Amino acid sequence: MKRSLPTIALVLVLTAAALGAERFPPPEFTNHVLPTTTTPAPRSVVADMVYIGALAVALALAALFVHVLRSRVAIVVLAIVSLGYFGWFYGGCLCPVGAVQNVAQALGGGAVLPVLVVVVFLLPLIVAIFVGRAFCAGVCPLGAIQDLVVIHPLRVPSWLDGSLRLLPYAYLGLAVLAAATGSAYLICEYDPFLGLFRLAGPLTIVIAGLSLLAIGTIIARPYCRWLCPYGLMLSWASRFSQRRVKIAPTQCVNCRLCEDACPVGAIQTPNSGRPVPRHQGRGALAATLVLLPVLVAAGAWGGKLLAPTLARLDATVRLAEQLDAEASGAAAGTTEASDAFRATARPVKDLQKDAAALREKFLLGSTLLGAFMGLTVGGKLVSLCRRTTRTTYEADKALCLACGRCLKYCPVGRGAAETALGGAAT
Amino acid sequence: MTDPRTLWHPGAARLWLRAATLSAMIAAAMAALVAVLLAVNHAYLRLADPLDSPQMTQIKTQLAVAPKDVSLRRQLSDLDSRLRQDYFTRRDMQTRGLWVLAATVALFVASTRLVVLCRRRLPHPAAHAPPPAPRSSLGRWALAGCTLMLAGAAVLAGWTTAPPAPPAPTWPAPAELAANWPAFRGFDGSGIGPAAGSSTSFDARSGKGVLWKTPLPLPGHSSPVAWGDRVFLTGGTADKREVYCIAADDGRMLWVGTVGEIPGREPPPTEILEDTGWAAPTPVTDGKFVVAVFPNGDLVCYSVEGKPAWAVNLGTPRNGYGHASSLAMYRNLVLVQYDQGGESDGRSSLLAFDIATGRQAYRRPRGVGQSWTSPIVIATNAGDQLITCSNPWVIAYQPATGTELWRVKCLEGDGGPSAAFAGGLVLAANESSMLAAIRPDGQGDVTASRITWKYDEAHHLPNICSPVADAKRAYLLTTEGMLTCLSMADGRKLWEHNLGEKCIASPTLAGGLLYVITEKGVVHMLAQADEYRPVEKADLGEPCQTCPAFVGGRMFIRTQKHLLAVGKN
Ligand code: SF4
Ligand code: SF4
Repeated sequence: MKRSLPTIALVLVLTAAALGAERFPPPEFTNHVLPTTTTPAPRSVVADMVYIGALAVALALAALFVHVLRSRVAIVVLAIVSLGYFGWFYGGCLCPVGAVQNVAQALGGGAVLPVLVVVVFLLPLIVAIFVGRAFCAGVCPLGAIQDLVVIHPLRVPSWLDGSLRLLPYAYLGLAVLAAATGSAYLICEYDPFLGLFRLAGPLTIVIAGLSLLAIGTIIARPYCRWLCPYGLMLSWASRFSQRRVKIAPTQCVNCRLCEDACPVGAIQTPNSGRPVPRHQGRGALAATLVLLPVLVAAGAWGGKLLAPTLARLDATVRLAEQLDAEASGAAAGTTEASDAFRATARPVKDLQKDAAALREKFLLGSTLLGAFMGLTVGGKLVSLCRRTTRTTYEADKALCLACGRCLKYCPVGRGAAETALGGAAT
Repeated sequence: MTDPRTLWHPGAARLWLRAATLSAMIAAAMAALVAVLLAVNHAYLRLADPLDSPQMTQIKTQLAVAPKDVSLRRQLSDLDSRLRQDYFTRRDMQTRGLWVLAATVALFVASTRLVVLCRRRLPHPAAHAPPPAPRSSLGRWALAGCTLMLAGAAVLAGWTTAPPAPPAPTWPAPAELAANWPAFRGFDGSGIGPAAGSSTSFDARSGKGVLWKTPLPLPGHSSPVAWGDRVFLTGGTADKREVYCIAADDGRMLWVGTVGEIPGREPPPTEILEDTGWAAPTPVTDGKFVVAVFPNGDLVCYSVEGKPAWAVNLGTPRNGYGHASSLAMYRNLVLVQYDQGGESDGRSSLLAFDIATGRQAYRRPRGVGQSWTSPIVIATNAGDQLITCSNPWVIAYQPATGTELWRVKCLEGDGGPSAAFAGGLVLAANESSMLAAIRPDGQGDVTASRITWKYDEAHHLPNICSPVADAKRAYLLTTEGMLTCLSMADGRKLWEHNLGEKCIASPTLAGGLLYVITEKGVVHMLAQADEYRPVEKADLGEPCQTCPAFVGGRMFIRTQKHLLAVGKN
């Protein structure tokens, strides 16, 4: 735990530095004394424990509400409480979504990984392995704020939904690459709701958050479905889950009442009545499997080409390029960063050496990222060839956000909930 | 939670729905309004520099003239505190506004939730057919589309974030610069003219060998610069400052640029020495523009056709004798060594402006006091460098960025002579210190390691005239007319000769000769040799304090009242 403190302190200092970006010269002709720079104290161990405790309790409650009580109302209440606590009270940081980057940076060798961060990162994933995306149900403040604004969710065609779900892979890959190289924490930097939680931040981000909420009134949880990198990891974990959300707790009677209940298109419909000619599927699958290595290679090649661009995520690389441009007369002037660098009197060669080392890292990382994206596209193509036989309405293990909306649509489920509540409703 | 529709009676549901809808709409409108106000406030905070008000600038300008004026200081202090207060009040408004925004968003969220509850309809699956099985071909196309979209975004990101390519040089090539005389003491400021030189036999009194002689409207000690068929120089008095363009072929005055009003111009200096005058700094030209600086801080640019291009006032320099440093030029930049005040005043700076637009490219504080030397731009093995001299430092900068490269502590007293560069060595000299031959590389203070040799015979060291050198010999000229020749290999004295006349103009090398012009206007032409060997002598007919410019086989030289041309027709 003690090892986590310096990291937290560093994060706080950097945050404070970012907020203190507006600087003025001291007043003239006054006896104004400039305050000395102070470093905020790291968060106490007790506060960390309280946070982990709250996260664990919230996850347990979410699982309980979805799988045992099957109560959408309870989930909504939990979401509101989580939004208040993890969002506004806690300021949205540290959160499991952002912790992905701490882990990536530590794995990249650029930082020590505090125990707190490990727990925060793993807890929702472990829970997902057992009971699905309980974190998304009503614990994650990002999910909660979107969930609470859904008014009239429109059905997004599955072909569009499926292909847009490619985006989180790219976002996750980018975020991991940027963090592993110690260049940026993209997920935090571009967290659309952080500005709303903290009541501060770049206006563009606040506007992005508000826009997502506005869109979210008719297209449920757009960030969760098509952007969230941690949501993607949760979807991987929940594929192994023992318990999926059971729309019908016992036997689905195919009454179709829940057909339109899911705002995120996570209900799989029965398809047993419509067999697909076997030869068709097989041909497509064979072609896709042949294509797969080509896609991976093409992705790797594209990633390699993209490496210089991605390397610009790093401030050192950007500064080195700026200094080059200034020296060659290409830049229209100097920047605050280049002026500040000159003020340090550090040799430009040193900086260029650091930048070259970073570019090397990005070359490898970007190639791997490209290969990963190629594999993802190939994997999705393979899954499009897959024929499953389903006879009942089921929640998709990976896509279901465990929001609980569908539960009350099921006449079978209603009886079960009443039983669980001890017949209180009768 | 209880369904609100069942709370009182069936009609209550409609009431709930209406109330919730209304509340959602009001909350949305309020949120939008607050968001707009916040955006406006945000833009104000981002764009407006609280301490950049015209009132503030005006008071600061007045204070610069009367720094001890207590009432001005109080006014500035009051205004400063008022502006800061206003700024921070707006900052507070921003924070409070965000809270209001959050509250309205929360109200909107709550209301919409209620709307959802109230409008819930029972599902009617029988009313429509079961959803069709997803078509994998559509899925594949969509996936391909999304992949292409991602690839497109990546390409776009690469395109938009790529650093700008070095522009195709709009500035003259080195050969072009060397063929002309773009700045004080030639293209690299070292006072070395073309091997061809000009005719050496002339006499301005009789007119022999003089191509033309043009009277100059205003006085000045600036030297002529020349490009192609045009010669430029400046003249000025306390009330008037002018730039002249004269035809190289026949001496016709092609145009006169009179410097007009420049916004933000400070009151003129009161302490300019007559010896310095109002037009001491030499202008620069790149063949498209000519830029001149005057001792009141006016920096003006004209096209070579005489069209005013831009003008700024750099602020009146605090300079005991008057600003005399000539301009230098590097690629597209005009470089101004703006040394003034005392060492601790923090006023001296190196400034660079885009020659075509006047946009300031950089301003680097120099941390030195006033000086009268001119910067020179040289091409070394370690890259291009801008060399400046002031007491006590010779400082080299990267001319494109103003990044300091190295410095050597070797000068003392009021700095007059500029540096010269020959045989891979920078020569910096001043009376009461030394002539230091510096190897121009290294980083930081290289005083201990880069002075190859030095020469410190006090009565041979110059206090106004800059040294000149070729790869073999360096020449020093004192104001009293003492001419000394040193070996560039080791700084050994080769010869000395007392001309017995006062000299202000720096010596120049051209056509294999050393040109030394005395204040009376006698031009001594000597062989570049290991012994004192006069070759020719000529009379300008008028006192002269400036350096000649050599272009196209002609020599242009400014005397007290005229510009005259010597050489080929
Ligand atoms: S998908 Fe991401 S943002 Fe959405 S609820 Fe899950 S973790 Fe949170
Ligand atoms: S619980 Fe899962 S399947 Fe049911 S509505 Fe929510 S996201 Fe959809």
